[in-house]
Amino acid sequence: MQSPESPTASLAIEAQGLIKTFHDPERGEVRAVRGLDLECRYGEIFGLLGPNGAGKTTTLRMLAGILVPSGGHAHIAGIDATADPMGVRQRIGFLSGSTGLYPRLTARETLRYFGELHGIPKPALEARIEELVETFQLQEFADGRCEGLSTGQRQRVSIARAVVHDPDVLILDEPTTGLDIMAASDMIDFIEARRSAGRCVLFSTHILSEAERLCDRIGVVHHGRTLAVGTLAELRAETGAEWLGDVFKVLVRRAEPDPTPAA
Amino acid sequence: MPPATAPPHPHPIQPKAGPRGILLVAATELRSSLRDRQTVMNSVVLPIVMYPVLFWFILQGILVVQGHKERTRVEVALVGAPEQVADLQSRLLGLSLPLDPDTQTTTPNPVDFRSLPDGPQDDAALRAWLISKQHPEAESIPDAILRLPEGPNDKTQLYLESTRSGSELAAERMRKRIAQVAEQLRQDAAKSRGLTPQDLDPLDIAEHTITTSRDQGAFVLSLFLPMMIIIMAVMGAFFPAVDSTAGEKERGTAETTLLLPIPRSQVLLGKIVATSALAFLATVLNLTFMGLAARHLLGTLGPKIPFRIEFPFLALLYSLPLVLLFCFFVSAVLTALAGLTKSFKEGQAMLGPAQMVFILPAIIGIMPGLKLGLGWSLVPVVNVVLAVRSILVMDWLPIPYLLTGLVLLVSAWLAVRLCVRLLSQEALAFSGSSISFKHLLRMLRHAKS
Amino acid sequence: MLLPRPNPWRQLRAILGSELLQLVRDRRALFAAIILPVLLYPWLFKGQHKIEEISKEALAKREVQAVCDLSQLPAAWHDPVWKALQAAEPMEWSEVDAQAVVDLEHSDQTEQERDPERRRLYQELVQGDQALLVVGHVADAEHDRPEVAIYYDIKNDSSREAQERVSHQLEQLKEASITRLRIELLGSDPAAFLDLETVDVASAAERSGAKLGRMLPMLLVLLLISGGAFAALTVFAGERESGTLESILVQPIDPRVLGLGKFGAVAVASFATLLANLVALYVCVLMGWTSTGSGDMEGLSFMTLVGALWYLPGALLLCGLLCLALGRAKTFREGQYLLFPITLLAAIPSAVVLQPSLPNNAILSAIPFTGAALCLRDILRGDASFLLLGIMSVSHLGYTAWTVTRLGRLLDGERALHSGDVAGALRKLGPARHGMRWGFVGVLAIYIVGSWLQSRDPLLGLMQTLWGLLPILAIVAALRARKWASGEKVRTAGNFVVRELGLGPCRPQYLVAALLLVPAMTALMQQYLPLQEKLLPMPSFLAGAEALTRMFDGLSTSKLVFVFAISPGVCEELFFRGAVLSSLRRGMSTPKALFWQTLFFAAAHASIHRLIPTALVGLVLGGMTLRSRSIWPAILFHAAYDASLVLQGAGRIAQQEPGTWHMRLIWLAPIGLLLWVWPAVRAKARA
Repeated sequence: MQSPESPTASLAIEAQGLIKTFHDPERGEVRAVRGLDLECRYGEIFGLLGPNGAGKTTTLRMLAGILVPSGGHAHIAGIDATADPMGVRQRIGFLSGSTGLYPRLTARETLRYFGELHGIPKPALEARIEELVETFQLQEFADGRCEGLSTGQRQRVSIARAVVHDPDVLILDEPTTGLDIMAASDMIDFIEARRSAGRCVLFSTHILSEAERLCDRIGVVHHGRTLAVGTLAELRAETGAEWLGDVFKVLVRRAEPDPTPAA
Repeated sequence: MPPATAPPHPHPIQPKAGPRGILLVAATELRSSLRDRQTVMNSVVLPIVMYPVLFWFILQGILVVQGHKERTRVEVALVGAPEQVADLQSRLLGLSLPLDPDTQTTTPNPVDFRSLPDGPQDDAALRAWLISKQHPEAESIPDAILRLPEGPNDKTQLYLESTRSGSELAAERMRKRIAQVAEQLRQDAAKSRGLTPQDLDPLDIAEHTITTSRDQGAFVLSLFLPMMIIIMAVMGAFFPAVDSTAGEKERGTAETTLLLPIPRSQVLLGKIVATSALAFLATVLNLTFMGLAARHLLGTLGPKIPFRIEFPFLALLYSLPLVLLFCFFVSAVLTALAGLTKSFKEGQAMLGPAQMVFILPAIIGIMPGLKLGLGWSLVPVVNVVLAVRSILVMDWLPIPYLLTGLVLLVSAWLAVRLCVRLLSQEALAFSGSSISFKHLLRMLRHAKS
Repeated sequence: MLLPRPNPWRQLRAILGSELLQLVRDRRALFAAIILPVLLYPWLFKGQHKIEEISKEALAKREVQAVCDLSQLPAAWHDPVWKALQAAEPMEWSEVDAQAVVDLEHSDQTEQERDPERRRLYQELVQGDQALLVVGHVADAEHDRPEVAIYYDIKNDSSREAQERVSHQLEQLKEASITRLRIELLGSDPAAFLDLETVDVASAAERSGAKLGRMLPMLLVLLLISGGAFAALTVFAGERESGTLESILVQPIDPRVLGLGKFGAVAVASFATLLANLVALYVCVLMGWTSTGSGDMEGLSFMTLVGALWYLPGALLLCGLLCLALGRAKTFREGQYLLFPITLLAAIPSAVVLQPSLPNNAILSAIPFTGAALCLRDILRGDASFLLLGIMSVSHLGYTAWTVTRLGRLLDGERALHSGDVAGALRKLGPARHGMRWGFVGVLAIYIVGSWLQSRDPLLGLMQTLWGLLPILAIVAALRARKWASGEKVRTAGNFVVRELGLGPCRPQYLVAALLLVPAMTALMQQYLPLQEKLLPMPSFLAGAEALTRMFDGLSTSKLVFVFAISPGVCEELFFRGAVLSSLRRGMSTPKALFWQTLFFAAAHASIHRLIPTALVGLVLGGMTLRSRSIWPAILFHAAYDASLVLQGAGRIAQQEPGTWHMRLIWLAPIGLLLWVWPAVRAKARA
């Protein structure tokens, strides 16, 4: 087993030529991801930017070891996601905007449940739960059932749930979808806190302002391919456009000279 | 300067109030239901596919069970005076039972006889032997024991253990065989005195039913069809009722529906109409395909059943108004109840027991001896069952029939009123949480005052 | 923080604990699914019985008016019969003149001709509220033999009731006079000693257990489904609905452990249901609610009910099935739809307990649910054998283990997140779905339409089914399959159909090879059928199949061969090996396609006793078709095989001693097999 400190694992996430193909009865063969490359380092926030249906969710699920890539390979903290999905899952925290909570468990029970699934030893787990309750200010509602929580409170519990094992890599799938201003800003604070702790955060979004504000580097995804990767400044320089929205348009136009996409 | 009033609309829109509004809602609900794959699967495809498959399995199951039963060998011990036992045994073996010409072993319903002339033959010993305590003289335990009488006035005793399948089988087969032997003995005795068997049997009793085989079929139908109609209608209304109320809240379209420029009561009525249409459709399809499959089953099993079941077209036509009214009544009640819940799961938990409220009276309704009089026609559900029953055997009177219809209409109307009153309350229309029964009672009281 | 690999046992415990906690906290659902059904027991025992009793009493009390005419009876019989009628209470008799009825019964008309006349006369004589007609007359003038005829209307409750009362009284009268005559004429009844007196050595407790055993197995299935389904829905569909499925799937946990944990939670809920029901039952026994009429459960011991816990393997299997089915459901609603089919799947095999005289045996106890139900029945009546209980437990636990391993696959991310709906299994098959659908349609059509046609006229119906129904289905299915074959080179629809149905040219060696295998197949069947007869005996009323023999006898040999060999050979092959197999092969692996077409072919023959023989033949036919890419060899083999069976069955081929023709020709089989294998070997050699 390789630790993140080992030289081969200097990259938190490394994906090359990822492909994912589905069979769909109505549309036939769907190529959701068609050769996607990605590199994320520790202490970095990487944004995966693209419209709905670009293949972001599928990519993140492959990186998390839930889906098996149809082609290409991905390494998370130096571990091959196809060969050892379990090892990958041990090292990542995963949270998507649509994630729910068990309605009839309390926040503390939820954290304990997921901690036990990760195999955290009992005494360490209790300490960790207390730490998380403290960090995310769950004290007031930590012992009430999750069904009675507000959206913001739920969001905090979900975040705590995702980092109960203090993962080196955090994968967030459109984490701010459906959140109000306060909850979204909590989320952004949390992401920044992870970076300062030297972890890697990979998150997907289609909200440009969020990407502009947070990301150290941005990967633009369209139709299952990476169109460009770089810091905001690099992307601006490359495309000559000022706003991220325009950057995106230029990239798409460059990739698809014909405005009508192939059927 | 802003205009004081809104500019006149170029095409003034009349909100679709009244029956048109109801029908509009109903049509929309129906369309969305019938476009839903699951609903179609459940209410159209399932009945078509399920009944033939189901009846096939039942038929094959019967054949397997029958085959196994017929080929099970049983052993019967004969005890008593040696010559008596030998005589009876030879008579039993000589019976002209249907035999397989090739192999004695595959004769259906075989019985092996064993005589045990020695050893204890008193009641206690035989009982002990049969209840699997060893017999001093025999190695195995028989399935039944036939104990021949000692004195002239005693009777033959058949020892069996009714809770053992083999013993039951042995007893069943022995009763048949012994009756045959007895008949033979009597015939032999009569013959030896120059008498015919008729001389010993002085009286004929003939029973003629004056019912046509077709009417007999209708009668057989009347024993279960009315109850089936009720059950099918109730089950058919179940999912649409939950879907159009709790399901709508779950999908988040409840708000849109309530914003329609139509009174809430009419929206609700529209939903009830759609639910009853689906319930009716499910009833018709289920009964039709069940009938077809059952016909096939009956055709395979017994070619010589005395009655002829024909499609009771006229009777069903007469019953149609009542069945439709009943569907409406059930839909109104179930929709009202399902409207109290917020999710499909809760709705389902609520309606499960509610179904029983309809099905139990239906079971009462098919008990023999009940007749649709003025009294029964006042009891909803039971009255429908009795009315359909009497229509099937074409023995019905117009007044109870009309009264039944009226009662159904009134109860449906009451259910709709209740439904409207309950569901037009804001707390329920948008309810984010389900309500407790206490709260419900309070609301009802409030609604009535 | 880097942790060692989590311990699966600890994970299992965590999942089980958390799922159970959530189940217990769902009070309302718990009440509706587990507690409420338990409360139904008193009604079941007391209520139902009460209603039946009331209904029976109401009928027995009903006074029925009836008419009679006993004037034609011989004097000696007039008074006894009249007394018997009087004894059938409560009834009110009035006399009519029924000379017309007597004349009718004495006329030369057949029964069919008499029936409408009887109906007319009954309506004339029986007026208003009257509901029965009894006519006494001398049926056989020569022997001066009296007959009492009862005329009643079966669809009239009162008439039926009155007929039962009168018949009962008259039968008693008849019995009494027979006994009297035997003594008068024969001195004594020679068979008097054969009046059987039954001595039942079973204890009261065992008898009560037997009564319970007739219904408890089926009842338990319903109640366990109620309890287990609630749990399975919460555990699986609930996870999807609350949006936690993805979170759990990204945890470092083996899907099999996850499946086992969830299954465990459902099993515990199910066990709780089982326990609650048995306790409720015992309470009913203790309170004496069961001691009325038919539901008499006197003396049922506590230990018997504890023994009933041996039903657990059945309950576990039910849980496994529920998990497997409901685990696919995306929503509660979808899961709910699946409950009904599962209920039937478990309840119908359990219905075998309605036949108390069916002995349990090793085969029956290994059949899912049937075995569990029979074992429970035997335990309740104190007649269980440990061997059979063992067979039942091992087999049912084996089936359960199978469902649990499948469950693990279901919770794999690929499936759970992308094809988690009910039709997922069908959808993934893509074009093969077309083949599945048509296979099913074909089976159903043969079953419903075919049997309807044959019920009207066996021979014509068979011809219509074979030459009408099947080719039409095959051609329509082939035409509809065209859209799935977009990548293949096809010119016209006609060309496509011919190719799809496998009617293209075929190497002659395959045709020869097909024929060479026929004797071996016939020999194989002759070996197999006696074995099947032992394991799956055919009931006697089927084994005769007189109708078929009569049909055989009426036909000349050439017609016989055409109807029963060539027609099925051509038409069944067109549909099953042509349309269905071609479609299936497009979307499935070869073994899978072979399996499904075999299943359809066997199911189309609609008899459990022909299932395995036809499946064997179907497998061979499918293999031939796949190998030769044409259905001609299959047609030839099918027709020849059927011909050999039919001609032998009709006695057209002399049935010789052991060395029958197929045994003597069996040496042809290796040559045939070689011909099937040879082209592939040669092709490989060339490559």
